[in-house]
Amino acid sequence: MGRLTEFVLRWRVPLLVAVLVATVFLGAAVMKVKLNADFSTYLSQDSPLVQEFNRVGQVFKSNYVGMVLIRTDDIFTTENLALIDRLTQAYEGVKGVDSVTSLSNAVDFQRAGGGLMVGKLLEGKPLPSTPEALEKFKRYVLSKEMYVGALVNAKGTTAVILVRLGQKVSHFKVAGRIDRVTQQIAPGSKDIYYGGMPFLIYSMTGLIIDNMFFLVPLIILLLVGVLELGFRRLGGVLAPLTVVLLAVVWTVGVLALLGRPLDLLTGIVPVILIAMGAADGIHFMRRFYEARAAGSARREAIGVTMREMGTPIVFTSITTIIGFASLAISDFDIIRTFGWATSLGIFLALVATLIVIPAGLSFGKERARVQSRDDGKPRSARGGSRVMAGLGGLIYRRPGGIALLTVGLIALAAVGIPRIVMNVDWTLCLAQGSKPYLAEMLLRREFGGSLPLLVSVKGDIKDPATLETMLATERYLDTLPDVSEAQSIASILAEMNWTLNDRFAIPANRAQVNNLWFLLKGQDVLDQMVRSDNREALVQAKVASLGTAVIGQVVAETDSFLSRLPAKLIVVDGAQAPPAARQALSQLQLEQIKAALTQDLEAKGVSIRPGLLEPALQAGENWSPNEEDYAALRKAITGYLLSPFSEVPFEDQAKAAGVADSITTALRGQGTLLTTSELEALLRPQIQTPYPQDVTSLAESLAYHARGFLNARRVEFAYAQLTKQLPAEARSDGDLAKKLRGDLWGLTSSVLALSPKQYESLQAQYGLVAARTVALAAQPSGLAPVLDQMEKELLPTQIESTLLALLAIMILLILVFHSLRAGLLGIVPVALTILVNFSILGYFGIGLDSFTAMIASITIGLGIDYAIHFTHRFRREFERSGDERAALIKTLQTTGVAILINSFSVGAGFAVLLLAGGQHIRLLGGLTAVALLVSALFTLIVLPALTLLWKPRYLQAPVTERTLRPEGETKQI
Amino acid sequence: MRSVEKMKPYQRKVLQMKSIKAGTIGLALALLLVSSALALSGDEVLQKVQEAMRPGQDMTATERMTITAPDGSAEVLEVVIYQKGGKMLMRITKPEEFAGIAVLVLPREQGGEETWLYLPAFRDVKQILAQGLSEGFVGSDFAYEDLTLSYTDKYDVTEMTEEGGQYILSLTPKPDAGLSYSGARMWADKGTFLPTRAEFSDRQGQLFKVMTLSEVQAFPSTSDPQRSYPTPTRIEMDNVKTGSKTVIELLKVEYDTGLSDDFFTVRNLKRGSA
Repeated sequence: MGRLTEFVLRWRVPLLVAVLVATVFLGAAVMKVKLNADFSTYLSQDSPLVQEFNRVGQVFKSNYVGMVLIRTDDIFTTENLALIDRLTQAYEGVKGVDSVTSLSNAVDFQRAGGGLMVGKLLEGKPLPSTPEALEKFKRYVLSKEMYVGALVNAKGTTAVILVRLGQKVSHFKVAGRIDRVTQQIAPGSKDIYYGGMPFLIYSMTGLIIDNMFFLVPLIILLLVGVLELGFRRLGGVLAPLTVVLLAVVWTVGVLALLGRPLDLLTGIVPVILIAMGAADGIHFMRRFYEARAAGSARREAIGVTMREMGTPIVFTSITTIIGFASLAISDFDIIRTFGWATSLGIFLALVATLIVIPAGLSFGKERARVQSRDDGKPRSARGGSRVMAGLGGLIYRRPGGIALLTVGLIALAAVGIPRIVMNVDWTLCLAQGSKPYLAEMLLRREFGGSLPLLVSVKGDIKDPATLETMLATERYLDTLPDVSEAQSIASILAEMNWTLNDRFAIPANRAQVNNLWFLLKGQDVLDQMVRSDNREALVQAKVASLGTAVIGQVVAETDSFLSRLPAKLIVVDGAQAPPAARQALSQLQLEQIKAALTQDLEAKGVSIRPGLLEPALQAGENWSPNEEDYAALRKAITGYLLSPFSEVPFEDQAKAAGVADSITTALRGQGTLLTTSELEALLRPQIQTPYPQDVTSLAESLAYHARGFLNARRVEFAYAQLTKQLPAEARSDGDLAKKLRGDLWGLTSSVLALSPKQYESLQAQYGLVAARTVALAAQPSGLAPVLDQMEKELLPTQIESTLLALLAIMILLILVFHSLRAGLLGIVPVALTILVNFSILGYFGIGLDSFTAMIASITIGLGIDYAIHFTHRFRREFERSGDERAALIKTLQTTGVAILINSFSVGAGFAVLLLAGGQHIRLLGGLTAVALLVSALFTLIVLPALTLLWKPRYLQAPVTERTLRPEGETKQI
Repeated sequence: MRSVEKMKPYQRKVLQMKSIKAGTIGLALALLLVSSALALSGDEVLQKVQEAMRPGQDMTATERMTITAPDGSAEVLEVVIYQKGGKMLMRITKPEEFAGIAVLVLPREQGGEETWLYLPAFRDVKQILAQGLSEGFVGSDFAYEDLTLSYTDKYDVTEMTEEGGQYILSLTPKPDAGLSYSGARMWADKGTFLPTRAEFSDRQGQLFKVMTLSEVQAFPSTSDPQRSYPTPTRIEMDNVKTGSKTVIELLKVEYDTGLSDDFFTVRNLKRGSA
């Protein structure tokens, strides 16, 4: 330190010039620093889950979906629908927006006037303007599950416009453009909210800016106030203030030069540096003023201060750096960056303290200052001296009692810690009561939440067996509490099948899938759900909460379901199977149908007693057409033959009826459906046509439609049996009815998909032959599993981080004080503080998450300074006086006061974060402020008590004439 | 005035020149009047454009449609198109996943068109309603309404200019047309009336799609080989907003093969070929 002092004082001018140049250079870089509130970049980009998240987002453009919510008394008015339409069109024209979906342009397929319309709900049509038309439109929209909960709430009072942003665009800028467009179309509207990731980023960015521009000046003012109160001298205010401002500019400048943007956490680094960086300056100035009051000349006082305070300042900075650097093992990139940025700031503050302050102080009057009455202490501190003396006396008299009290405190903490809740809501990032927060709450209440849960399914997506698996996955997800709006291409195809053919079921074969796919070609929904090569598709759902416990539960259950799915499906056709196998296959099929029915009922909250479904299933299985069915079939066939769709024109009704009659008679006699060739053989003698191929074509159509007709009758019969068992509200639910009928449609098919195990068993027993094998792989994707994994790894990582920091610091203390006991004792106050901090979390129900867990590392870094300063001073005072009591009191009156001032000033700095937007930051600020004060108290009370009881080496050494040193003399460490 | 006989030679000459001059001016005026009477109106030009795009009695063509997405990936379809007057039957032949799907467009007596779609896997024919016609055909940049080559029923000509041997028509959709465009501009060759370019605007009036027609070739009539019809063999539609593009190439075309009206029926949609 002596050499450093010499160097600094000799080269003070060049050093100060260098500091100025560096400050200007880095200050210029600060002007160009960018902001980043994109959550997805906060995660560890090395994590396979994060990489999968990014990949899926890129393929399906699913990661950046913003939601514009319009809240009204009734969405279904001409005015509100026109607003949605205008906003939709306007957003489509915003640069950076990939696609927009709303009630205006949502894909709609419906039967209308005997025809088919695959188009948009409203786009290209005149808006409904009469009460009747509006009511009709409202009923239609609210009857469709694909709209309710996705684009409009069940009550029809809130609509959502989904805005998909491009991948390689600035989401902040695009969100800003969308906001401006909204203001142009609906200026000053209070009923429009923004939710979803892009708008969250937009709000968070604003939050970062607000935090910086509001909190930084505030904390500077606070610091100035505390310094003035503590020193009552200009130098005492300016020196620490200069150090922290330099540290802030240099740190943020380095971040800017490295291209690291300021994010939610590094955005508060300036506040933290101002709060913490002043500590060393405070200690330095305190000792300097003490030396000056004792009569030392300016330069001499600088030398004394550097010699006495230099090493402890260095070591306390090192320990603080260790505390923050331990955050480097976090899985969150944002926390790692926060850790090293703060460490860098502390280091730069140290450099500034040891160079700028002594260099700056060296200018000025050199004459020795006359010792004043107050011995360099502010007048306000004299009262404090008496209190400290009293405290010192008490500690000296009752160390054992204090130790016992400490044990009691540990026991109390031990009760609180197990109460810690791991369920923390990520919505805490938002300021409560802010519009983004309200939007998130609205999304949760009315739209099932904003957190997407995705399942990526890889395989031949167009194979009906794959689609059935996807539909089964949707059904399962809808049964999970906190999950809703499960959708995939499977349910969309089923919905189209319902529109075209009155059956909510996956098309029976690939050709039918292709035909329906044709109608979807070019629609955005296909791009959003299926990869362009049709080898991967997404099942999407929403999680109602951003709470970690809910997310964890949902992810765990989804994982469990998906792990039970076989890696391949063996498709068999029961009609081609050996007769002995058919019974077994039929049984398996009934079980599958039963599972589907159960899930659909469960998703609607209809609980069913065991055995309720079997009678209906059995009745459907055993159904055969009666006279009424044959009469209806005959009528349908007659109608077809007379229609323009018949391949052979029939103008004579009697002739058509005769042909229909022959068909139904043959069916009745055969007891099974007629094949195409059997029908053709029946038709040919009855039909005269110059085009013989038309008869073949007609036979194909009649075989198909007759089969479909009778199948529909079978399903209706089974459904009628089923509904007799259901409660009234379930019977009146149109959507449920559609799905149950769709499930029962399985009774009409002989094709079944088996797991390899099922197939092997049946093959061994009956010699079953597979029609085809379908490979598939399903895994969860999206933000939900990423957040879940991060939070799972959080606690072990934080424990690891905390223990690592404690160990490193303990070793340092042992080396510094040449005493194992001193090292162990040194970490007691911070260890106790961490226990108290966690017990506060437990007692007050504050969740443990990535942010609150950081407090342990921060506490170690800051709190250990107090123990180092205290132990260092106490040891020196003991070496001087040889009297434990006197040394203790002196230490408390000098360093102890400084520690308290420091804990208040730094704590107040962190307490400023209570005014930040974002509840996470507020919690971090408030809890850290409490932790610092608690750490200071433990240092001043428990540490000396335990030191007196356990007596480290420096207290055990016999006090002799040689070791006793007069006041003012120091010993080099 | 003296009689001509009594005029001196130079006077006769002057009179002669004046007469020639008057006659020339009179002829020019007469020609102007006649040409004004013969000049086409915008609607007439549009009618001729439509006729040029649907020449002859009937047409059978095989076309390749290449749909290129913004990321450069491409899908190829092949279709067979039959056309007679305002009737059109189109059947997809490739790729296999869509083979057999067919579309039939029939003009209505009261104006407008009706469009039918055949889905072979369901043995079902469904009428596509008006609102569905603005959707892209098989995800291409051509909407159903673009493929019918029907303009006079759908557009009014609001302005017409001439430039560089072309008519430039400004088109506005008729109120009941139900089109997805708010307007269009069309360039048509004055000699053949074949369009060379069309620009379509979206509902906000922004440029949406640009269609270019090129590589005009003359194809003979089957019934009258002396007669031939100029036909653009390449039609490209660029979606300016998305960056996607669809190109229709005419691979084979036959005119006047004698397609009957019965061919263009819902019943015939289900048949494999003519």
